[in-house]
Amino acid sequence: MRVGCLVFAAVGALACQSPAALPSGAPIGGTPRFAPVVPDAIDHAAADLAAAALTGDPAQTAAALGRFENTSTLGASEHDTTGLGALAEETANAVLFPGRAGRDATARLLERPDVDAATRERLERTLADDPLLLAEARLRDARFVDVARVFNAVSAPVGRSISNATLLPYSLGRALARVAIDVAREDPLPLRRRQALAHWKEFRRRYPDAAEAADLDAEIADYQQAWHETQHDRALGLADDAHDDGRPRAARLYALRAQRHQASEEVRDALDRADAAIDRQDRERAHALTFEAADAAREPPFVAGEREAVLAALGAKTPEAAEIPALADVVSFRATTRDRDASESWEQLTALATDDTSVMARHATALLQDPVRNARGAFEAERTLERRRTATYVLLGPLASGPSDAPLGALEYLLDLPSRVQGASLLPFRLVGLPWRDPTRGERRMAVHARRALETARDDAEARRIRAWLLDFESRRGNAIGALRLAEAQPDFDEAELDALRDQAAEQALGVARAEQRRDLRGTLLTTVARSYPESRAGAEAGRLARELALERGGPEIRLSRGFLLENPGVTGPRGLDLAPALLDERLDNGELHTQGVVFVGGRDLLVHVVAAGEDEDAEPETLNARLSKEHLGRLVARLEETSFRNSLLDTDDALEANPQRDVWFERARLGLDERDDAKPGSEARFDYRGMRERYGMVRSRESILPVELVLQGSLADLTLGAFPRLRPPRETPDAVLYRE
Amino acid sequence: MKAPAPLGRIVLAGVAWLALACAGSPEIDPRYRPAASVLEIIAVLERHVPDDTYRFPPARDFTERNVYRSTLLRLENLERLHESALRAGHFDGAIAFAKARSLERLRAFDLAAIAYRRAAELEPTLSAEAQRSAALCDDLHAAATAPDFLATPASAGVVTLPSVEAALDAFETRAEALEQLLADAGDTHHRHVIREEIERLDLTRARHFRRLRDWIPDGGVRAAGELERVALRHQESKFAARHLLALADLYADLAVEYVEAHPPEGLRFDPGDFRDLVESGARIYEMVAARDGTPERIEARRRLEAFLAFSLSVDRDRFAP
Repeated sequence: MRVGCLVFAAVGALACQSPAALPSGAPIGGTPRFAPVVPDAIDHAAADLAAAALTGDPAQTAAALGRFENTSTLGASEHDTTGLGALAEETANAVLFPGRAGRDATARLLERPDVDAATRERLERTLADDPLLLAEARLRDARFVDVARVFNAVSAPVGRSISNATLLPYSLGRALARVAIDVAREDPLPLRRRQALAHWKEFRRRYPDAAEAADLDAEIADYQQAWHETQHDRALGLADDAHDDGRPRAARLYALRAQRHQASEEVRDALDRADAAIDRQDRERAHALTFEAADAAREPPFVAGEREAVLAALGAKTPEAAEIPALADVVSFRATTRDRDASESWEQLTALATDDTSVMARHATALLQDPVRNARGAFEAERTLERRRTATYVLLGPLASGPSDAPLGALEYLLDLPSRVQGASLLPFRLVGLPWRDPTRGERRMAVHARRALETARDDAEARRIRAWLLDFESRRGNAIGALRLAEAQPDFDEAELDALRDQAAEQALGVARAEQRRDLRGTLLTTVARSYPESRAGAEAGRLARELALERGGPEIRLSRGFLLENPGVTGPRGLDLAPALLDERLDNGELHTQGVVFVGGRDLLVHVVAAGEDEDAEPETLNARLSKEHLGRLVARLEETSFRNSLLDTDDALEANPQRDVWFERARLGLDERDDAKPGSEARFDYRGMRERYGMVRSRESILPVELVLQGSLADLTLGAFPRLRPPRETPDAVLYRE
Repeated sequence: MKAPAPLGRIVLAGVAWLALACAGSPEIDPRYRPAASVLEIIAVLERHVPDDTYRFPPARDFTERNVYRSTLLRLENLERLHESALRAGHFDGAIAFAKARSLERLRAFDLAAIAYRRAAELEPTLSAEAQRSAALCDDLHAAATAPDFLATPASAGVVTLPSVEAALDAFETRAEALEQLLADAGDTHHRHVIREEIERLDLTRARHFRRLRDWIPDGGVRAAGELERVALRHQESKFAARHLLALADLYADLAVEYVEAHPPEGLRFDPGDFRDLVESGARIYEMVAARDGTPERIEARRRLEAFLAFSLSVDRDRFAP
C-alpha cells in the first residue's frame, strides 16, 4: 500500500513538472574583473626562490629555500599550511641535485606527507621514466612471459581433466611439447629483452659515470651477441624464403647479410645454394639466347643465300617465306600473335608451344604463360587451381594444409593431427558455409586476371562468362559500385537488376562520403554521389547532406558537454566560462543546458545548447549565441587546458588526447589572434570534452591488476568442462613496433 | 601505565593506517595556487635546462609535449588564469626568464633575447645571467637568420653557376662565428644550443651542395662528401641516424640516376661504379636498420628493401650482390 502511494506520488510529481523554458538572462556572464591580490611574505619568498633556482646557483637556491621555509612556517606552529612546501623543495632540488642525483631527491620528496595528489602522480611518473628502471621492467616482463608459458601449458590440460582425466597424460605431453617447440622457435633475443638491451645502452650513454653503468657492460655484451644471432637467423630465414620463391640473387643477398652478423655453416650452405641456383639460371638464360630448336639434328635454320627470304619473313609480305622450312614457324608465330584477342590465335599458339621441333615453341610458351598478354589463360588457370583448392578445403578441412616450414613444423603437425582429424569431420558445416565464405586469395587473383581480360578481349561469349563471374565476385564481397560498372558494360543486362544494383552502389558511395572526416572532401564526395545516382534514395540523401554542409558554418567545433561542465566547476564558474548557474540547476523551468553543452565555433563565438522551450531533455536543443571578450576567451582556454592537465594526473582514465588543430586554435585564442580562423580544411579543429560519466557510465569497467585470471571452458565436442587459472602475460609496450623484425 | 596488549597494538596500528588511508590528499591553499603553479613549472623547467638536447631528444613532460614548449604554454596559461594574483609583478622577472629559457630551446632566439632583457630589468637576482643570455641569443639569432647562400639576388634574366668556393667561404665564416660562441659559452647549457646550431649549419651546407649537384662539376661526389661530413661530425647527435639516412638516400638516388643515364644493357654502364653506389647505400641503410628502438630503423628497413629490389632488377651480368 505504502509503495503504491509512493509510486503514485512520484508519477504525480513528474506529471506536474513545469515545462522547460529558455533562460531569462544571458547564458554566459560578461567579462568578470577580479580585484588584484596583494602578495604576502610567502608569495615574495616563493618568488625569490623561483628566481634563485633560475640562476642555477646552488648556494643562492639553498639560501632562498631556507628563507621560504622560515617564512611559510611563521605563525603556524612550525606547520606549513600553504601546501607550497613540497613544490618549493622540488624547485630547489632541480638545482641542488642535478642529473641522476635528482632521482634520490625526488624519492625523498615523495616521502613528505604534504605532497598533493597531482604533484605526487607527476613526480612518480618522472621517477618511472628512467632507462635502468625501464630495462628492469622489460626483463621482468620477459621472465613472466617465460613462466606464464609453461604454467598455462600445464594448467589448461590439468583443469580440463576435471571431468575426464583419461586423456590427461596425452594432453599434458602435447602441451609441453608445444612449449618446447615455441622455445626452439623463439629468437635468441626476444622482443622484451631487445627492449631491455636498448634501454641499457641508452643508460650507459646518458650516464657513463654512473656506478651502475660499469655493471651493465657484461650483460650488454651477452645480449648484443644474442642480438647478432637473432639478426643472423632472421636474415637466413629471408634467404630461405627467397630461395623457395625462386629468387636466388635475393637469397644470396640475405645470406650475405646473415654473414655480416655471424659466420656460420648455415650461411655457407645458403650461399652455396644461392650460387648454384644463380648458375643454373645463367645457364638457362644462355641457352635461351641461342637460336636453336630442341631438335639439334635439324638443319641450321638460316643458310647463305636466304637473306632475302628472311627479310621478307620479317616484313611478312612474301608468301614464299612460309615455304622455307626454317621460317615457316616464324611466319606462323607472327600471324597468330598479330590478332591476340582472337581465341583461335591462342589455340594455335598452344599448338606451337607443344611442338618440340619448332624454334618458336619457347616464345609461344612465354606468351602463353604471360598473365598480362594472356589474361584469359591466366584467369582459367587460376580458376582451375581455385576449384581444386576449394574442393580440398571442403573435403579435408584442416588436414588439407601440410606442416609449416618453420623449425619443427613436422612435429607440430603431428601434435595437431588429432585436432585436425576432428576438424576434418566437420565437412557438412564447411559445405553449408561455403556460399558465405569471404573471398579467398585465389579468387582475388582471378579477379585481377578477369579485369585485365575484359579490358583487352572482344565482347564474345567467353568475355561474358568472365564478366558474369566477376560481377558475382564483386556482389559477394559487397562492392556494389564495382558490380554496377560491370553490369552497365553488358548491353543486355536486366534493367530491374541494374536498378537494384544502382541503389546498392549509391548506398555504398553514400557510406564512404559520410565517413569522410574532412569537411571539404565530404562535400565533394556527397555532391558526386548526388550527381552520379540522382534517382536513388541515397543520391537524394547525399544531395540533402551536401546542401546542409554548404550552409553549415565552417571553422572549429570544440564542444564542452554538459557532463564535462558539471564535473569541472572550475571551467564552468566565474573564473572560467562563467555559465549562468540556472543552466545547471536541473530545473527546466528556468532554462537548462542541453547534453550537447557549449560549442566554440570560431572567432570568439559560442553556441550554447539549451533544452528547447516546452520540450524535454531528449528533444533537439535550442541554440543560443554568445560572444566572449578577448580576455575572457584567453582565460577560459587557459582554464580548460590546465584542468585537463590536472585531470589527466588525477585519473588515469582521463588521459590527455592529442589534437594538433585544437591546440593551434587554443594558442591563437590565448594570444588574442581570434579574429580570423585558419580557413584551410585541414586546420579545422574538432574536439569534444566529455565528462567521465558520459564516457564510462556510472561504473567503470577496470582491467584487473592481478596477472592471473580464472578460465571456465566447456567443449560440446567431447562434453567436457574445465576450470583452470591462467597467467596473463603483460601487454607489449607501445614502442614494441620499433624492435620488431 | 599498562602497555597495550599485542592485539590491541595491532588494532591501534590498523586504525591509524585506516585513518591515514582515508585522509584526503593534502591540498594547496587556494590563496597560494598561483605561486604553486609558478614553482611547479619552474621546477620542471629547471630540471631540464641542463639537458644535452644536442645528443638526446628533448624531454617530454606529463602532457607528453616537448618540455620547453609545454613550459612556455603553461606559463602563458598561468598569466591568464592568475592575472589578478600576479598583477603585483612579484613573479614577472622569474616568468620572463623562464619563458626566455624555453624560447631559446625552441629556436626563437629573438623572442628569447627580448624576454631575457625584460627579466634583467625586473629581477635583480637574474640580471647578470639574463643579460649574458640575451647577448648570446642575439648572436644566435643573427647566425640562424643569416641569408641562405642560394638566395643572393641575381640580375634579371642572367643565370650564373654558383661558386663552390664562395659558398664554402660563407659557410666557414658562419661556422667560425658559432665555434667562437661555443668557446665563449663555456660549461653552460648554452653549449648544447650552440652545438645544435652548428649541426644545423652543417646540414644547411650539405643540403646546399645536394641541391646543386646537377649544376656543379662532380656535384654528386661533392654532395656525398658533404653528407658524409655531417654524419661523421655529428655521430653523437640525436639526429645521427637521420644524417645516415640522408646519406644512404643520396647513394640510392645516385644509383637510380646512374641506371637512368646509363641503362645496364648499354655499353656505357660500368658495373664497378654501380656496385659502389649500391653497396654504399645498402650498407648505410643496414647500419640504421640495426638501431633498435628508433623510428629511423623502420624507415631504413623499408627503404633498404625497396633499394635492393631496384638493384636486383638490374641484370645479373651487370650487377651481382
